[in-house]
Amino acid sequence: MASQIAKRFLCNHSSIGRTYSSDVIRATLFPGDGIGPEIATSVKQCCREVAEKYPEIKYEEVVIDNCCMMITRLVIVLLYMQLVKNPALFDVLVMPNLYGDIISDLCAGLIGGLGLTPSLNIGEGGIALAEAVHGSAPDIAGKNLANPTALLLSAVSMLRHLGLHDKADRIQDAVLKTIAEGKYRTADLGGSSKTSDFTKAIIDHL
Amino acid sequence: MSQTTTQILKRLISTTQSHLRSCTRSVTYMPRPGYNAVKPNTPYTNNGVPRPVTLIPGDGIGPLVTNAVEQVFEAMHAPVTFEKFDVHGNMHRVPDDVMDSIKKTKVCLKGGLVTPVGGGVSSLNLFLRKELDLFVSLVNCFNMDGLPTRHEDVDIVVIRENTEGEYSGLEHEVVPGVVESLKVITKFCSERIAKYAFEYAHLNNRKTVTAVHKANIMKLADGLFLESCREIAKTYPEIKYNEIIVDNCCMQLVSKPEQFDVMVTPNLYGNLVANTAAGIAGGTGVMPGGNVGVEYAIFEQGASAGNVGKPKLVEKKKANPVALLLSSAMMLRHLELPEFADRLESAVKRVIKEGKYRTKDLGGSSTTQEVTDAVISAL
Repeated sequence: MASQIAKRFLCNHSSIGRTYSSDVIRATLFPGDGIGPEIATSVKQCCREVAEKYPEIKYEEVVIDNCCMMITRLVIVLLYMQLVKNPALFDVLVMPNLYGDIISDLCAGLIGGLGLTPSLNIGEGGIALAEAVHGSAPDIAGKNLANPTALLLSAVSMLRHLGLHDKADRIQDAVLKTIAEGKYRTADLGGSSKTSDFTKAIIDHL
Repeated sequence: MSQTTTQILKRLISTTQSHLRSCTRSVTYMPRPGYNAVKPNTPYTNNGVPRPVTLIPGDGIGPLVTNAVEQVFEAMHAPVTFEKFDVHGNMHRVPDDVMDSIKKTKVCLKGGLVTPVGGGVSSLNLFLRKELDLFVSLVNCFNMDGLPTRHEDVDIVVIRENTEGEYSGLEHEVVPGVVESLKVITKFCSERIAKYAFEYAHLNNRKTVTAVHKANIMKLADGLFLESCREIAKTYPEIKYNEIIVDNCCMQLVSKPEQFDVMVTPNLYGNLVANTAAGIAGGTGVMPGGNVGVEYAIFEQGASAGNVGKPKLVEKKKANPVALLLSSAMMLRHLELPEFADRLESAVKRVIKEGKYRTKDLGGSSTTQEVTDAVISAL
């Protein structure tokens, strides 16, 4: 299971290409903090084995420290501290279920909230489910107030998974441009546009 | 709690009220859990006779920062003597003479002990907590004057169950490649941690207690924890109680931390939440904390006790002593010496506010010794 996760991540990265600004794609691994040493060892082993198959991707097990990136083991509590102090240090994070749940929500809070965070769930044989990280928001349902960015960017990941990269790029650029302009923003981003207006603005930017 | 202890507490709280108004944060008064109220054999203060306290310098930056504490205590003429013991993270267990000393003095101040990741040696920090039944881990994360962070008005106390939960240490490999790890939650432990949290909130004039859980997934385990919290909440009607799922909690912590007051959590979530909150409020270098049990208490740097810093930090002697200094102030309150605690805390706060002597993690470039000297001169 762990080897499959590691393989999937590194696989996706080599197919997507350099989507991050840093030249090196770093895959950082988090074992548990003092608990689950056996689990940590097995996950680490799997990741190491898979990393050997993808030599173009730099693989590190890192201890996050204020000063430098030495290649040692990472402990998850330091991660939490570093994530809130200096999130730009991180690139791709691989971790077990519970930590992933917590950290993905934490990072969503760091970048502006659940209205903007996309996700893609991947299984064996290329099955993929793209969904937004947020829930059903019953309090604003049916009022044309929701922020469609999360689901739009999830759809973009889906297109990339299907190999339709040019169309995915078009939609992603349009979304990012609309948000950067700042004229149309939904309530969770501090503006007052409706979902339909925001969507129209994105279509105009395509 | 016994009657006399309550009276002493009331008196001390009322005398510190005026001081409270000048400080912008509340007294970190830690209740002594009177769950099986046993009056300690050694009275906490001996009217002038210095009280012995066990001191474990630890690994890495530990000796550096505990040395800072020793210097400051000497400068203050605090009636406390230290019994120093050498313990290192790679020992298999804590030596017997250290355990005897802690059982005699009942209070210990500790630097960090390295926890080897993976491998067979289990954490000594964990061992101490289980052995002495220190079921509460308390971390106080607050904004300090002169240390600007992204969020203002942060004052969170994370009370974390310290003995069970995901850290039960019960793991086994079922078949090669499949490992099982047991998370154990008991009603007894959940109740006493909830009771401690509400008692703490009550004694320190806190308004809200928030329980952090993941009961939508772990329905039975965290469900039991929540039930216990709810029952105890009913006995403290003047304190507001609410619950929050841990992933939502982390998100709220990074976007709106002002909404949290006291948080009570099981073991793993508490570790994560405490470190997140510490990062929000200024870093693990400044947050005080302690582990409290029915009979014993160990005070150490609030968050990240297993992190002993890089070797470079140790060489250049640039570790941040503020966390351990504030934890030792908590220890002084635990020893019923609030005047010294107040002096120490005001001195530390003044040094940070002035901003001239700051170690690297706070954005400055002073060494540990310079910060220590600044605190001593501010006393």
